[in-house]
Amino acid sequence: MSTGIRKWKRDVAIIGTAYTPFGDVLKTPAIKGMTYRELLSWAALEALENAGITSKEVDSLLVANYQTEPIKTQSIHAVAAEWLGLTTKPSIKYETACASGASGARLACSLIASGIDDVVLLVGGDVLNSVINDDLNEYRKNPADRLPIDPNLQYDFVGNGWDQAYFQPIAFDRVSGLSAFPILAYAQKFGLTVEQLDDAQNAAAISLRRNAARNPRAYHRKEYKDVAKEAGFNDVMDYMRSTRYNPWVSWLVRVSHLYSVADGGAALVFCSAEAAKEYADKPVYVEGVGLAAGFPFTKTPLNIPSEQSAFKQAYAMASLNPKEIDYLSLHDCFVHQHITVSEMAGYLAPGEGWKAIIEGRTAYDGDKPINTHGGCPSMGNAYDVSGIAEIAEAVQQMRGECGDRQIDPEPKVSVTHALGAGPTYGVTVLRRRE
Amino acid sequence: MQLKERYVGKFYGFLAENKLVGQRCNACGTYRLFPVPVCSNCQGTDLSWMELAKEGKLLFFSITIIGRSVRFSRFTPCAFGCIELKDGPVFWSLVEGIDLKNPEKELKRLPLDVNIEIREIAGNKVPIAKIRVESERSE
Repeated sequence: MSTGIRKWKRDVAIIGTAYTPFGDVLKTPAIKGMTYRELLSWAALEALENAGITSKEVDSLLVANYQTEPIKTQSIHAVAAEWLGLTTKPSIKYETACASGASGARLACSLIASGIDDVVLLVGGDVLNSVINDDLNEYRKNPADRLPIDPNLQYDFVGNGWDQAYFQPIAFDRVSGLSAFPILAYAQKFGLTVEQLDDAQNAAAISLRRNAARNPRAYHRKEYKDVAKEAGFNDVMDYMRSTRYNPWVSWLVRVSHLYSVADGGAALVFCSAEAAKEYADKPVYVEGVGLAAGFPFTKTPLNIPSEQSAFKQAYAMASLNPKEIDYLSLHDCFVHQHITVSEMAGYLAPGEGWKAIIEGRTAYDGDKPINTHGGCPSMGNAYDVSGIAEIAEAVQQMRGECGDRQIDPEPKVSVTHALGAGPTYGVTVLRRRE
Repeated sequence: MQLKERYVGKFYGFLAENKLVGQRCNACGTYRLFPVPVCSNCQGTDLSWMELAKEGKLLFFSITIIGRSVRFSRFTPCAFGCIELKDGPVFWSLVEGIDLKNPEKELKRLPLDVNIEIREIAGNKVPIAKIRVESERSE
């Protein structure tokens, strides 16, 4: 029987991280023609290199994948083991959609904390912007060939992570439910106008694109101020308010406020604290992980019990005071999270989040940085891969590895939040110890 | 515990008969719309099927403008809302009777009384909410 929050039985650190360029394997030069195999191998090998080890030191392999190929029964952990030289080590496929970073961290830390493993490689690879040929005979002629996908069909495919019996047939609009309801509830709670919150969400999108412009691996890198200028706007905010250029998807949610589906790979190397001293100059410790999943049908869209539980679990496990947080990562498939979830996390003051964003405080060079890699709208959203990449970005920031988008001073404490299909909510607390 | 129910089939079977049937937990009294074997409030397993009143309140809504769900795309633009049934369960669905041209004005009227209607959408029957007008009140 559960007796409440517990801590790891031995400390666990992240000693290596990587994510590939995000984009579309049909178009983006750096990843063009790649399958999930190349993407996850790229990320895994770079993360091992970043940790200063090779596959030889890895004790077990965890592989996340959401919907790379319609043949969902494919055991991609076996493919990954083959590609990474880990065929004599335990490997497991797992997935909690975009929360796969938090759930993977929980699994990896548990394996290490239990004493069964010293080094765990966690990797994800997904191709979501295209599909394989439905005709399997055609597909097998060249499995790297993929076809473009209709965006509406893609929306339904992505919905495969949600309950097909009760959720999808009735509660069909995830954008309205998970994005418009919370932002409208926020407006109601703090007496704000829809214009104020439209501007705050636009400002969050601008800030993310500015961060992405400084990240060579982000999908969309042209700053909105330049995009606006090309369209004939002197003021970027006028461009963002234009329904012609930035149309509504759902009322109070514009195209720029949403994720951009991406293909990519990401990996993390977890290690026991004792072994971490041997391998890494700057280990980052995983002090808390919270996870919870369940339908988001609540009377108050700002208080989803599963999401609140994930924060509570992680903060209690890490004995974290939210005032200590230097960097917040959000799985911002909907940018209202910069306002609503930042406040839930205790990172921004209640009712003040929208203003902090408009004032530029959440940019990489602001005093409350959020999503320095560009977030789901500009870095791109590769689902399970993004959940892992968000933790990778936080660790890279804490180790001073982020180049032009580096937070100064390097964050000591980071919190990552994830929202995966289902929905699954995940929170991790990371700390650098000097 | 041997599981004998076919929850999903039975739920949609009732909807096909225009009945909104969910569950009531006999231990804590919580009602739920979507039937499952374990109560999420008290984790009890003694749940009874219960016909739910087809009325409730619209708590929030938005306007779905670009309908990306293939199943519902023909309805857009449409109002989509968060509904609390009179018996307690909360769910999201299509909403009829909202002035789509004046959403801000409509927001100020919330919460609004709704009736639940069972409609056939893309081949099966599902519950949707319709804003109740004064003459339809049951009281």
